[in-house]
Amino acid sequence: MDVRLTGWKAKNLRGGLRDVDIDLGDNPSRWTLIQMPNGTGKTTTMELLRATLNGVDLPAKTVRELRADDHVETGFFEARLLVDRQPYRLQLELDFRDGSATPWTVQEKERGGGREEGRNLPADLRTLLKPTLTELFVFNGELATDIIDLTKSSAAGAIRALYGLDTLESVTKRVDSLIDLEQRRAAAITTAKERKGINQLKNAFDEARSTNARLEQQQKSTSARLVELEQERARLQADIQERMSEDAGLRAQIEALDEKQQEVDTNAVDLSHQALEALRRPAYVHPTLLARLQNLGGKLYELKLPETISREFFSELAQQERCVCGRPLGHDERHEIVSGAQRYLAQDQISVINQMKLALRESQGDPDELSTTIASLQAQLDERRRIKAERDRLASEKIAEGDEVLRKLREDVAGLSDEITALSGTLERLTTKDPSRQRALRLSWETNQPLCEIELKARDNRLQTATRTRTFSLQGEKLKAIVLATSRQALDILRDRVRLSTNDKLARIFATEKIEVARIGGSLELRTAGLGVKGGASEGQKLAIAYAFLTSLLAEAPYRLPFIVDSPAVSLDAANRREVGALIPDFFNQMVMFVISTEREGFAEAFYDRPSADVCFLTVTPKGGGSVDIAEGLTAFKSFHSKEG
Amino acid sequence: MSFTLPANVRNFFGFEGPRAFARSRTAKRDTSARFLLFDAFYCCMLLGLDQAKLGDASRLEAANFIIGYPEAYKGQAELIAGLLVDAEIRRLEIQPDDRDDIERQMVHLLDLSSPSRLSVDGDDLLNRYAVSGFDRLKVAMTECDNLEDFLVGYHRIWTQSRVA
Repeated sequence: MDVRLTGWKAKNLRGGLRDVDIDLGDNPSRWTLIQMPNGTGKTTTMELLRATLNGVDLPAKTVRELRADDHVETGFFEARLLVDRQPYRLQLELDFRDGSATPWTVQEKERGGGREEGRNLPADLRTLLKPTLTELFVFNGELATDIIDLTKSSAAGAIRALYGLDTLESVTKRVDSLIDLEQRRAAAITTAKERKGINQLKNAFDEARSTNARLEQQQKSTSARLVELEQERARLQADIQERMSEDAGLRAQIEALDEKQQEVDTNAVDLSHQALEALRRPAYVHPTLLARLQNLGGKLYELKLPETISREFFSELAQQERCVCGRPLGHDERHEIVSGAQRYLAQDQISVINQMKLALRESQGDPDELSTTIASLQAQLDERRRIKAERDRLASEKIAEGDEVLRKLREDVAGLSDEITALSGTLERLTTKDPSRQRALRLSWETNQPLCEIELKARDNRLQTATRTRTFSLQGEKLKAIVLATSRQALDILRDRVRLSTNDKLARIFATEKIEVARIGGSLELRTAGLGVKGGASEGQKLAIAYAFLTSLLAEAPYRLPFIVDSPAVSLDAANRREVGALIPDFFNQMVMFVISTEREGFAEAFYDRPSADVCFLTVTPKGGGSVDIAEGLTAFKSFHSKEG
Repeated sequence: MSFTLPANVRNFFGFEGPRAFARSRTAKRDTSARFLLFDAFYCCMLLGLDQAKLGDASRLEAANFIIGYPEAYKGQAELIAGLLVDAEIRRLEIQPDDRDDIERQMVHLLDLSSPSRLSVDGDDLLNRYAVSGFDRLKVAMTECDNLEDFLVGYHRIWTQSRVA
């Protein structure tokens, strides 16, 4: 896959880029040398080529600094590419007023082409063109020797960028942010992250669990004891009845009371049935409810609710050829009918309202029925109390006459009743779920089982959260260690691969003095074969090594990329320029070189004798007023004189 | 959705499983009419509708206890729906002659296809009326050990509130 630069265009930008259009043609030469004096926009062009290619947002300050002068409000830059022979125009629309830079992509295709907002390159190319990689092929030549400088880490950085190892580093950052997120989420529940804090939470959980078990046991034993006591009391009450019945003088009265009691119980059950049946009919509960139901029913009739015509009627009408009045229905009429139908209820809505309306209309109740039944029930309950009081009175009289057995039985019943009352209180304290009772009885999780269960759940939640967070954090650290080790190992393997490829090129370049890359650390460490570490490589050799390295590196990219370089040989003397000019051009499929006139001697001269089809010479001359003149051809290139020259 | 009990209603009515007023631990005669969970809900709900006051949904149990009405309430669904519409008209202070608003409320609250004849919002509102009704019930009477005492006490709430 192949990417070529076919030109660029700039408007209203600083440094002579008021209106520049450089066209390298649909089939650009392998080598393009563009001679531009300082101040005619080399740096800005390089900067904007990188920005359009890598798609990184430009800061507002940077955008405003690109402004040609105060008279312009907008600017424009376009880089033209061929991606696998398909033309793409990557544009940046710059607004100097708000400092915005909006990317656009123009793609000429038979279908689906046109101008779209964004940087719409093929997905794999878009992923590849990260800023770190873009800097390697839209390259500042003055920085070439940094690749060999041991104090810099350009070489390793370049390998990381190309092979996406920085993506692995972003995994590490993502793990950190996930751990941080988990810990912040957990902090709302517990701050414990370490072993000691987790032990404390575990102890607290164990405490609540053992309290819960104790309360549960208490509840069971209290309930069981209550059942025993109530059974015992019932037995003693039966004994009292039997004892009373043994008295011939009382027997008739007791039997009459028993008979009456049975009658009252039966009546109470029957009346309860009747009252509950009446209660289940809202209209019978109270006259107010009956009146409300009837009023609402009457109101619906009065208001003529619901409408008798349904939404469906109009929907069906809209499908007819003619209206019910016989007039033909056209498109406009149908549209009006359908939209107007929304004001009406659907048939099922009308049905349910009608059902309710009918029920309300027919709602009848005898509000006195429930009152009468309840009054009768109340009378039976009063009678039940009176029978009990009569029994108590008879028993008291018999005790007063000296019946010690009966007295003892009644005392035992009273004692059991006191104990039952106390135990019932204990059971309520243990089991009540009612918040108002819990507050009134001043209950806590240590004395009330429902509260204890809530506390146990909360403590369990805190413990689980802390344990999970700690486990999550430890697993995150393990993952980071694996990612780091993978990244380091991958870098070592890739460094060696690029080193061998670089050395192959160097073997062809330096035929007499065999210089090779001994190791790629942060930068390139050189050695002379058989002599060990190479310390004093010439500037020309350094540049050649740097470009050999870059070529080897970029050759591994999934796309063959153009090499665009600013001032490739500016730091060299004439002899070294000749050396570099002879060496590096063959490294790249397309090279666009911005040079100043001082680089002509030695460096540019190396291209003069190359086939003219392979080399394009452009000369940019300032015309004044911020615009430039662009001349093509070797003659203009050679004859240009500027103050740098 | 249908109906959800206010929290603590089961406790107030002494429900142990489906049996109400089962606070006493010794087995008693079970000749009294079976008081349903729905009866407890209905008694609370009627008091809430009467005062046209909504309770907080957060004070309902976590899940519904019934979908639609039990057999004992057959034929009452439309009347209960009517009481809900009436309570909403009073709560929202809709004018008695405001035809559009009354129709809108009915459309909002009723649903022919629902087992309760109420929409989801209608079910939800009825549950919230039960919450406020339960508050009123707890203030008016203490917990009862048997159905007879409850029926007498509950009826007294209706008669006394009118007298007051």
